[in-house]
Amino acid sequence: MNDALEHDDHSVLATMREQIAATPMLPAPRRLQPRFLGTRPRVLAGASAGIAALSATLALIFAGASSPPAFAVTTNPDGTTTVTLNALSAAGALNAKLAAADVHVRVAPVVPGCNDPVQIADSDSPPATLQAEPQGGANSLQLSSTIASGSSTPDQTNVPAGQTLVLAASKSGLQVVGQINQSTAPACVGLASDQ
Amino acid sequence: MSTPDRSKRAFERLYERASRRLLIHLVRRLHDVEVATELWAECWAAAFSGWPRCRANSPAEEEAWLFGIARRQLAAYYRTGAIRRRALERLRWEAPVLIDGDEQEQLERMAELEELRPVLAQALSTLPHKRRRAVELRIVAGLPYEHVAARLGCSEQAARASVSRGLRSLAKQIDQAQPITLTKEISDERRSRT
Repeated sequence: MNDALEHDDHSVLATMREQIAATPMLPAPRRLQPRFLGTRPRVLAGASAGIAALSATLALIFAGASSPPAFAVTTNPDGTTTVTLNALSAAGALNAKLAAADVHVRVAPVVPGCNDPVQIADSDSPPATLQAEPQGGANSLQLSSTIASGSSTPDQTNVPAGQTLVLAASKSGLQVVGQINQSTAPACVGLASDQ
Repeated sequence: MSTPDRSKRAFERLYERASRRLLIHLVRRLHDVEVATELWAECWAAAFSGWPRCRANSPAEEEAWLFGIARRQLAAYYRTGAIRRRALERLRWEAPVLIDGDEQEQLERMAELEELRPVLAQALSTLPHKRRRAVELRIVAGLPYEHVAARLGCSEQAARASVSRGLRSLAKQIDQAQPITLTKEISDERRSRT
């Protein structure tokens, strides 16, 4: 092979190098740490553009007077939104609330047998599975529509139409799967019908 | 195990190591400098976007990861005859444009396409008639796709698909003739597997 030609000899190589140099690199996504029910919500910077559109606190829905709510979607004073799911059976109702608010975030209950791989949108990485890690999540996730300066989390504020940020729900809590195309969601995730 | 460096500087080092080799790899797979350049640019845009999530722990693994992206992009191109520009559009990057014929020839020399012509000619004979004709018109004669489509009596998209599928059929034979190499580490690893 001809090795006499240096990188800079060709404008194709130089053009791409310049574009790389001019583009900021997004920080790596932060891995969620195990949290237990009843603990303080974990901050997850990055949500959907729809979250920014949430102008008012969505109502907490209580399962009973003396028990914690089955699910909740709340907007915090700092502009972040907290999604809470204390009962897997309430995932459908939580998704209905998110859909009504036009928030492109859905909770997908991880049920036995739902091990289908899902292809993360716009990614060339191998498909991820919806299998939850034991103790790998929290029952609440705080989603931010903005990135704090120096944050190590990615900006997921622009979830385009046709895509959804999926949170896998299991007894271990909620875990971020990533953004997927609705058309590629496995049937057991149940996204196609609610958007 | 130390945390892999996912900084932009580390990505730029990967670019310096692998950009030229990846471009040559794609030119040799596609025999079409224009298409190869665009696909190469999309590969780098996809790699840039995915870099923070890349789990490679060594330069060799980083290159394998990059060439894995290219393999998937190639597979999609072979399947559809079209290049997805999603990563480029997301980053608002432009695929580099070849300024003149000299640049195109320079890339062809880098990829040693001339030396591959006998291999290509031999491999062409194994293709079904329509695909062979499509590849001959586009790759050997260098006609634009609209002319290829007119000659074949089909749509431009169908012509692109015929060419890309023909190239997919040829890729294995051409690779066997002159395989592209990754780093020594990767090559050694692959040899040990086989």
